[in-house]
Amino acid sequence: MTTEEPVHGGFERLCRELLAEAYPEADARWLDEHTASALAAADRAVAMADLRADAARQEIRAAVLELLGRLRGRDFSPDALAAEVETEAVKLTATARPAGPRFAVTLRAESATLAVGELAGLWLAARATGPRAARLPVRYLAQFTAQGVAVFSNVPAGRWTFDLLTHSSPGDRPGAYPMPSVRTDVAAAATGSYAVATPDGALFVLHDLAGESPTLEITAPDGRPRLVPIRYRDRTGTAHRILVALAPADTGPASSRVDLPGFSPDSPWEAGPFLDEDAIASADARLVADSVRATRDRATLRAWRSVAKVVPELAGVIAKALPRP
Amino acid sequence: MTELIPLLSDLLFVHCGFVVPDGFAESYVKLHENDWNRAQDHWERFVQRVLDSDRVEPYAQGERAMKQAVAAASSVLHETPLQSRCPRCVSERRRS
Repeated sequence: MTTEEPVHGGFERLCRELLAEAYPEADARWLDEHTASALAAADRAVAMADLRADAARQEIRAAVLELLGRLRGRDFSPDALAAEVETEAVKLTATARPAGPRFAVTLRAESATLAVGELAGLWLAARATGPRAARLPVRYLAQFTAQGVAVFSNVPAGRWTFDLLTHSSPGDRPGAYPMPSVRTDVAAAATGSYAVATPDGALFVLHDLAGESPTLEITAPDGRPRLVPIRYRDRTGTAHRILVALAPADTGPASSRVDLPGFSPDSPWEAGPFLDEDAIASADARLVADSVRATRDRATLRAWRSVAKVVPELAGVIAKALPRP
Repeated sequence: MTELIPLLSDLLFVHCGFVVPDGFAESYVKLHENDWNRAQDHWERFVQRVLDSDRVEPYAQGERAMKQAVAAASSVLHETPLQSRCPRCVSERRRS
């Protein structure tokens, strides 16, 4: 093996090979000893690098939070398609351009001194408020890139404001959306509903928030049958997970409705990533049974019947949990 | 990703944005008989291999992954017997 060849996976093997290459006369014991010391040195160094990067992330995140607060004081809307706010260290530029009847809105963070790259992967929610905004308060999600840019698509007219979803992190599973907690939104409390639009065009609407048993309606543009995992905490803090089956509608987008027993509106929750039916072949039978029982409409039940056909391993569990005709 | 590997000349400075052992860049270039280009070439090859290895956390992306790889690579090159011998130089000498 030469230094040219890639070593996928094993850092320990890489260190040992490099030591052996540099010291061909060394014996196995010497190599063991110095490989161990190389690993220990690397562990210490990476831990220190992570600590510094975490501090840098906190710093840039705090600056962006402050700037998003200041941006709320500006009239960033279809009447003023650009706004700029800045601290000593960070400049935040917001721009919007019409895209049909709606708008594509871009936030760009720039800094000469702070690590903008540490924003990568953080999620933001945009809202349109004011008399021109739709009655149902929808939050539009977007994610910062490593260049400090977040693009919201399909945002309706209104006065645009933004929140950083502080429970999101760059390590989040790709395709999973961190959902903003609900009760901070006065408009949602007034209408009894709350909605989040994700970048892939799905709409998640929570109904009957003030009631004992809130329900979740998911509308997705893609007609293919899919499953959406939902994770949330109830009022006692207990974690729950259910799967929502989405079946294509005869006309229009797929739509499903489920109960979220004990859902706590002031806790963050999470949706996705969207799964194909066969991805749940090895899923926990109890999770599937609970998910089938949580369905609230015929379309969702139809979707589960379709899953049972594609995943015969779960057909029995699904059939048992489906309501008797 | 390779284009994000920092230059050794940048790692001379404390405020380089990376965690590297004190004196690493000078020492590594000296090991390459003050041939900055050769040292940079060997450094980049090593960092690339660390990036490909499991020392970089699977969740780390972009800058974070590079910071982990640079920290791991520089500590291994400076705090082990590799400080006195560059494996790639040894390998090149053997081949020539």
